[in-house]
Amino acid sequence: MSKIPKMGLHIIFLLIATMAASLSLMVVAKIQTGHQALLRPPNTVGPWKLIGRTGPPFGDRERDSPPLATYCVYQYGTQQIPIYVGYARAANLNSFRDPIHYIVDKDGRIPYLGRKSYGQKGKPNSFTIEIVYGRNGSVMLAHWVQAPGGDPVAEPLDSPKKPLLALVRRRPLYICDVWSPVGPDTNVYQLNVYLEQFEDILSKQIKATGP
Amino acid sequence: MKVIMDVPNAKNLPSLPDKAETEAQVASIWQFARYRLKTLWALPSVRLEAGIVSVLLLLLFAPALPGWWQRWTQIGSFQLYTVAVLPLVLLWIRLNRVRLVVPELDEITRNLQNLRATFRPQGDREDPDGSVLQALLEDQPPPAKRMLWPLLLGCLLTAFAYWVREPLLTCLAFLVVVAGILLYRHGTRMLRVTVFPLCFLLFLLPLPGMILDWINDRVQGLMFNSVLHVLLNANIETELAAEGNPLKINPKSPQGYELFATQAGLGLPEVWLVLMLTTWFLSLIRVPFRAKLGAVVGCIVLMGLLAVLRLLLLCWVGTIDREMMSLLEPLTRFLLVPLGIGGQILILRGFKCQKFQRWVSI
Repeated sequence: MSKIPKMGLHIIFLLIATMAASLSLMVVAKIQTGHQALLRPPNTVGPWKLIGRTGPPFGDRERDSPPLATYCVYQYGTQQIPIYVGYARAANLNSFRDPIHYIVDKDGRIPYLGRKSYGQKGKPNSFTIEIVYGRNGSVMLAHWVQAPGGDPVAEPLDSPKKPLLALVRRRPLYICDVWSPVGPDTNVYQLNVYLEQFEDILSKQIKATGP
Repeated sequence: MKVIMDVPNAKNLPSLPDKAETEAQVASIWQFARYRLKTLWALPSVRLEAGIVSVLLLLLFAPALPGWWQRWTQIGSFQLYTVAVLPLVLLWIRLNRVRLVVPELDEITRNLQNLRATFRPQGDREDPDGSVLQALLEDQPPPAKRMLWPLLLGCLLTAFAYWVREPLLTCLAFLVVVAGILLYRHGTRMLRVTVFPLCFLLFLLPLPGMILDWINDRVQGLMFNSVLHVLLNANIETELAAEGNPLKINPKSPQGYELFATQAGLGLPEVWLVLMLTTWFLSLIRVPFRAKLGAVVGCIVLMGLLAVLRLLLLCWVGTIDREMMSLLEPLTRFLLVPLGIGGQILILRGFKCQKFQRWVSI
C-alpha cells in the first residue's frame, strides 16, 4: 500500500469516505422513513367498506414499484363493482409518471380530451378523472398527489418545486389512485360520481393527518 | 513521468521513401508507447492501485445497480441497449491502450509544431523528423494539469444521490466520479484522450419515465404515421386512433387487426443499439468528420426504414394469422440488429470508413 503514490492514496481515501457517508445517509434515511408511519386508507368511505388488501396495478414496475405503498379494495353491497385505492409514497422521479403507463398496461391510453380536471378557480387542479383504455380492459381512474396536511394537486410536475423538494427532504408525498374496472355495462356517469366522492373523503383524510 | 528505455532513435532510421519513412518513424513512437504500457503494467503499485480503485468503485455503486437495471429493463423502455455500453467502453480502452499510455503526445506534437511555426491540423500525429519521439524520450514534458474539485463534486453528488434514491443521479454521480479520478490522477491530457469513452458512458444514464415517454410518444407517432401512409397508399383501409395508439387495419372487417405500440414493440432498443455500435466503430476509424456524419445519418435512415418495414410486415401478417404474428414480433425485433449491422457495413464501405486509426491495436 505504501508503494501507491500519494494521489492514488487520496483517491482511495475519498472513495472510502464517500462510501461511509453514503452508507450513513442511507441508514439515516431508512430510520427516518421508518418513523413516518405509512398512510392507510380509512375503513369506510361513505357507504363503501374496506374489504381487504390487494396488489399493485398491473404496470407498477413502470414507476419503479414504490416500496412504501398500500393498495386496498372497497365494496358497497354485492351489486356494485369494487373500487380500488392505492396510496404510494413518492420514492423517486418515476413515481410521478403519468398513471396511463402503469394503471392498466404499457399500451394504456386515454381518448383525446378524455381527461377531466377538477379544482377551484384560480388554484391548480386538484385531481383528474379519466377512463384509461388498455389492451384487454379499461378502468376509470381518479388521480392526484398530496402531502399530509397539504392540498391535493392533479399535475405535480406543473410546478415541480414542491415534489422535488419532498424527494430531497424525504418528506412523505402520496401518489393517490382510485380506480374501478369499466365494462360495457358500467354506468360511467355514476362511477364518475363515486370516484369524486372517494377523492373528496380521502383527500380530506390525508389533509387531516398533516402537522 | 520520464521513461528511460532502449528504443531505436528515430533519427538513426535508414532513409526510406516518403510514406514508408513516416510509417516507420511513427512505428517508433508506437514502440515507445508499447514499452511504456508494458513497464507500467509490470509495476505492482500500479496494479494494486488500479485494483483497489476498481473494487472501491464497484462497492460504492453496487447498491445503485438494481435501480439502474430496473429502469433499463422496463417494458417498452428503449434503454435495453445499455447492456452493451460497458463492454464496448472496456473494449475501446483495450483497443486504444497504446494511445492511452502516451497522453502527452498531442501536447508535445502541438508544441513542436508551434515552435516550427508550421500549421498542422490537430490529430495529425505524423512525426517526419522524429522530434516528437525525441521529446517523448528525452525532454521532461510539463506536468499535467490536475484538478481535485471534479472528484470532490462527484463524491458529494454520490452521497446526495443515495439520499434522494434517484437512479439517474446515482449514475450521473458514477460518471462524475470516474471523470474526476481520471482528471485528478492523470490530468487534463488524459481526460482529452478519453473524452469519447466518457461521453459514450452517458448512454448508461437510466432516464426517468417522463423523458422516455416523451421520446417514445414522438417516435411512435412518426413511425405509426409512416406505416399509415404506406398502407393507405396501398388502398388498405387503416385508421390511427386519435390518441396515437393502436393502428387499426381493416377496422370494419371481422378480420381487422389492431397493432399496439408496446405489444408489438417499435424496435427502438435495436435501433439505438445499431446506432451506438456505429458511433463506437466510427471512433476507431480515420476518416474526415463529414464521412462519419454521413455514416451516422445513413444509420438513422436505414434503421428507421427497417423498423417501419417491420411494422408493415407485422400489420400484414396480423390480418392473416394471429399466432404467426405473436411469433414474428420477437423474431423480427431480434432480426433488426443483424440486418441493421449488415446494412450499416455497406454504408460504412460507401463512406470509405475502413481504415483504423493508427493507434488502434487489434
